Amino acid sequence: MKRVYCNEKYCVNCHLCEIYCLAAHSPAPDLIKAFSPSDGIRPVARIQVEESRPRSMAVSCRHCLHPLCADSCISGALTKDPNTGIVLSDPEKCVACWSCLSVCSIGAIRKGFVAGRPVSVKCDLCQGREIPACVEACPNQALTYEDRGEN
Amino acid sequence: MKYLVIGCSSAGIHAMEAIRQKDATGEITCLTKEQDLPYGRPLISYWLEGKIREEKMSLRPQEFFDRLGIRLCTGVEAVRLDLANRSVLTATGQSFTYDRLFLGCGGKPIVPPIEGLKAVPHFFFHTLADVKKIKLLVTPEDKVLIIGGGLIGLKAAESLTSLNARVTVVDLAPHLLSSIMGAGAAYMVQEAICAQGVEVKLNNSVAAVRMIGPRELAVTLKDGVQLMVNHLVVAVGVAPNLDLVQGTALSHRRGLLVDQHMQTNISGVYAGGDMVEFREMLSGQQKVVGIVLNAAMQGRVAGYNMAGFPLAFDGSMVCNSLNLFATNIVTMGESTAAGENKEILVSRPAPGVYRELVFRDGRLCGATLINDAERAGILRHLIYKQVEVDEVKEGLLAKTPQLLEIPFARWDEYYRDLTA
Repeated sequence: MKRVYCNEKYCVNCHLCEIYCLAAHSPAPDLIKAFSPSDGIRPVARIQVEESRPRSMAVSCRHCLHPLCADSCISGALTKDPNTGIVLSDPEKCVACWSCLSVCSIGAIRKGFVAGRPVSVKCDLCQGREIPACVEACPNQALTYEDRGEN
Repeated sequence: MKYLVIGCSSAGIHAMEAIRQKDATGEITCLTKEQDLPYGRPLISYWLEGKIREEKMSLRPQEFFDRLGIRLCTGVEAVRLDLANRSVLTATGQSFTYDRLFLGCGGKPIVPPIEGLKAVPHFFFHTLADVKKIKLLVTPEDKVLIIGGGLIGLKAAESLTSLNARVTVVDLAPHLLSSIMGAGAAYMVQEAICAQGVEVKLNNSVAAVRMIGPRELAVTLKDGVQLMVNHLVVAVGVAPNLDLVQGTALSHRRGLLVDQHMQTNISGVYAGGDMVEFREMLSGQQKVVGIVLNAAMQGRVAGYNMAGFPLAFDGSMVCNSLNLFATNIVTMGESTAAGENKEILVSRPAPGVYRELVFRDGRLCGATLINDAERAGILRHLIYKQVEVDEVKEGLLAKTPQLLEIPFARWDEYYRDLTA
């Protein structure tokens, strides 16, 4: 399946991927409104830039073949779509127990809010967009969206 | 090929999903004694608190069973296993035959040997039916004694407090949650619990109980203290449910014994989840590790093997995350710190945040994290893979875990592992 890959060598630690991810997952997909939403709860980015100077790298969900997050989910909120392979979190079902945070071996799931409720949020590969917002925004093409023939 | 799956919780669901991935045409039948679609057992406390509606509790929707072509028989209890004839008999006298059988019968609450307990009404905190009974019978200001200060007992304490019951928790151990954490972390949890009005009695247990009136129980504690309560909740732990296994040729000790393919000693009979014991990664000992993640992984391994695709389970490891009175608790690996040659380091990176890491031989072997779940799975991975972390110990203690600061072989290789 197609996934987002980060080439650490080209990551320049600009955090634009986070900003555009956050905007893409805001109720109003607009940068200014995303950062000052009407309910006061700023959505969190589903991709995170790690820094360990001079290195940096953006980390987001691998959509694992056998996702531990879904395996550990007590409510059935996290599932891997059998057709697309995308691991999705259903905010309606999530009870914010944070089991998924405790098992994701790359730390790609975050605490967030949907409709004022605490829920786990994660990369959904920007459903409805051809290219995920993070990849589109990356100025140095450190992020790519490609099918490397992995499951 | 006829597959029969007993139990429709995490283990059973993942077994069926795996079977169908590898065998598009085999006939899959699942028997569950629950009356409805399978629900997440840990959700019962959320239901009791009114945080989740029953229809939102299902682990998988009906569409899942339809899509996979699974014949789901709810309200059907398997009562006898006939290994010679490869069939399972139900409580209503129906018989189901199989070529491959998966047992995912889960666990059942342990009943402690307390004088008089059998003669008095008491609750368990295990199924949706249990909490429905509690909701019906417990009214505000009722006094409730919870026997057991572990995960289940404390989740019961939390939800009963939200019903405005007056809750006391009694536990044998010198501190709460003694099966998953050390005294330091437990003290923080205890503070949070007591601040909500729950009374905690440690180093103590219930010696005897008797009924003295309608809704009135006299409880005698080990230390001689007498308590008058309206209700008792028994939450001293869960043991493998071997009801179906007893009297058959299936080998078991505390739990059902399986090989690395999750096959029992009888060919064609597989099992997974809370009813089996398996080698625990860190101790190397056979253990029952009753957590959702373990059940799902074991179920999947069993399912692949049942459908003829060899896959081995490499071992279980404890990992829990739960919220108690707005305090998040994550424990993983050997987090109780008992045992030899361990170095225990504690940090408090922010107010209300507690991080306790247990090291052995330069490797992380356990962690207790309070209000510190962010990226905690990275730590779990270090424990599970027993990565050498001597050089980065201080960083692990001080900062949110980062992949870049951990001496993994190579990130791109590791990423590939996740998808291969």
